[in-house]
Amino acid sequence: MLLCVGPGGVGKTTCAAALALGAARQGKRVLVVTIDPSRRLAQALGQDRARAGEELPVPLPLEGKGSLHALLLAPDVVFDRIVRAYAETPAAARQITQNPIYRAIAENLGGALEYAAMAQLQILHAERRYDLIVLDTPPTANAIDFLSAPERIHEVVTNPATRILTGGGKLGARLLGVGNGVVLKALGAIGGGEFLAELGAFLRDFSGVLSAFQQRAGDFSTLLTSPDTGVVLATSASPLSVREGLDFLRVLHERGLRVDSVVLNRVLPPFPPPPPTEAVQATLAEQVEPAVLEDTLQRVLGVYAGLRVQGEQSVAAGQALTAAYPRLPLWLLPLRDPAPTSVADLAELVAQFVRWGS
Amino acid sequence: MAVSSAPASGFGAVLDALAQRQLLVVSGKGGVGRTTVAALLGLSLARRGRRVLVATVGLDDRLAWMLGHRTLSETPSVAGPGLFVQRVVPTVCVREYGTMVLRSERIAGAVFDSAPIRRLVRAVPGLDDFAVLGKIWHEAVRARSFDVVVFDGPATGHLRYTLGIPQAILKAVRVGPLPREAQAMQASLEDPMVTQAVLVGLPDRWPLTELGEMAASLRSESRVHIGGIFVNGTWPELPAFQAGPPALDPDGQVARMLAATNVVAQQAARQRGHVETWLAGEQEAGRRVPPVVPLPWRFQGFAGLADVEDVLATLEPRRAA
Repeated sequence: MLLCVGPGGVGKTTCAAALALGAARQGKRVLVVTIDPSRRLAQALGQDRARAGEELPVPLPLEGKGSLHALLLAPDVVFDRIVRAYAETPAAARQITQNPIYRAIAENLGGALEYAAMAQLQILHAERRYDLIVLDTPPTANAIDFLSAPERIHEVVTNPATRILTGGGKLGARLLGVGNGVVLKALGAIGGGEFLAELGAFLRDFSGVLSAFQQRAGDFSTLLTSPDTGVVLATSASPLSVREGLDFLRVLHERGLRVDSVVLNRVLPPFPPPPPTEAVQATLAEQVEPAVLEDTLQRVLGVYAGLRVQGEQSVAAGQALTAAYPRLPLWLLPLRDPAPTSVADLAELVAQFVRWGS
Repeated sequence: MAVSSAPASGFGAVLDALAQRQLLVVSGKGGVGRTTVAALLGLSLARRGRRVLVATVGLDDRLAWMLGHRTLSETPSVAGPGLFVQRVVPTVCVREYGTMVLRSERIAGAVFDSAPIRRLVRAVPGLDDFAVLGKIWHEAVRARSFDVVVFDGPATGHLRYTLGIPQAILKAVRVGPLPREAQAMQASLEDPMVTQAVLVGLPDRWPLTELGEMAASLRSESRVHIGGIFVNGTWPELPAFQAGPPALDPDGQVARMLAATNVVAQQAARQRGHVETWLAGEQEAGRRVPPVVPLPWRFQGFAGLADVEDVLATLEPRRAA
């Protein structure tokens, strides 16, 4: 399994898709799981929001036995599947899925998306139908948030405060050291008493299902730190992204995840210093009116200076990453404008990965 | 067409209008530059003499850096003349709201400072979003502690949900303080004199289409007025040039430089084409298009106040500090 992580807006999903395509062309059976892809990329992968949660074949010419499927993560589909498989009876499963709170939680509870992504990965991993599963991680602001989000859901269902709502009130209150009535009054003032009772009943049922699932499937951290799992960090060369990227790497190492490589996306090559201004001016003078010559000259010089800054930033980003993690392979992907819109574009992108230092 | 006019006039006019509102909600997809736009708006509005709070849900301190401040805290801190920044944290907002409803700091403390309760509260669907939206609304509309509150909000997908919270509460809860608050919040959100959304997008075909759909759904579902669409990362307009005669450029240096700037020129032309095609399509479909303001692609990125000031100077040359 390969997790594609990184700061927002660096082309993480594109990288995940390109890596998956590259592996499929090497003869592997590959599934790429995307979360909130841009419309163009979803189209390139043949995805359709109406069919979220389904593994759809990506139409591409492949030689040999390689294949590529794409799955658009649908948290509600994943949760439905867990509830159906792990509720004690079909009636109990219906009671959970028909609770209005369930829909809201499956779609919106903090951490639900991350939990669903991990659960989806765990289910797919256990089925062993693919040689490689590439997960494009949710657009979480930082690595800790992504890695700890599933834990937050788990905590909710094992939390002593939840037990106050779910009927084990005395024990819960003792654990909290607060009067039971105070807690209920406070929460009631915020949420309304009837709603709290419903929430309590729901959390009791739902926690049972999730516990059963986790008992069978194991901890997410076991899966994340297993030798089967690697991480690719995608980042852009902008100083802010690099800063965030380094932060990601630190957290991933602390958590015991194996980082396989770093992809520095949208890099520009270094540009040589500009020629003498008079030479540029002389060339432009033959092509523009004298009245706008100076203005045009300044704009051309300005754009070129900007390109040089970008080229320098790309080099600085590569240096910062290799200085911090000298043994970590670093790959560069050149700036591509427009961004890829088809499988052919992605295939082209695969060919453009360049190893840092080569 | 708005987009082909000079950026400066477009930006200034849109900002003049936005300066009269109390709450500006900035949104767009991840990575398009929401925080950058929030910082630009904050600085520009403060320079118009407004007392401005820029509040972010972002977990990092980028908003602070962009406005020349080191870190963000959970209460407003001064970032410049008339300019304040702060981070809005759901658990803090829930506690503040709880204190207000319970009318007791002591009870609120006993309950909400307990870690298990905090985690439980996170499990109440929508409570986080309600508390954040409520806090922003409280500062902007009820307490009026600032002339304008710029809310660097969640990415578009989540924003629809956040802004839909008051309506969801009104449907689900009949009595108590909650529906009263929700009613007042919804009224403010729907009033274009009070609240406007500012959307941020990129000058490419699909991102613009998605942005247009986002605008339409914000209007129809949340009934929020869209005050402007900022198209971030617009490459500078530039003609393409041919290499000069060898006599003028013996080493081919100028030719190589122009080849590089020509690529930018081509991309810039394509971007403008995307924006114009999209605008034409929206108009043809009879959809109301809010003012579209291009923001320049900044090669060196945004790392500090100097970068934001620089861009603002090109957008509003006469107002430069």
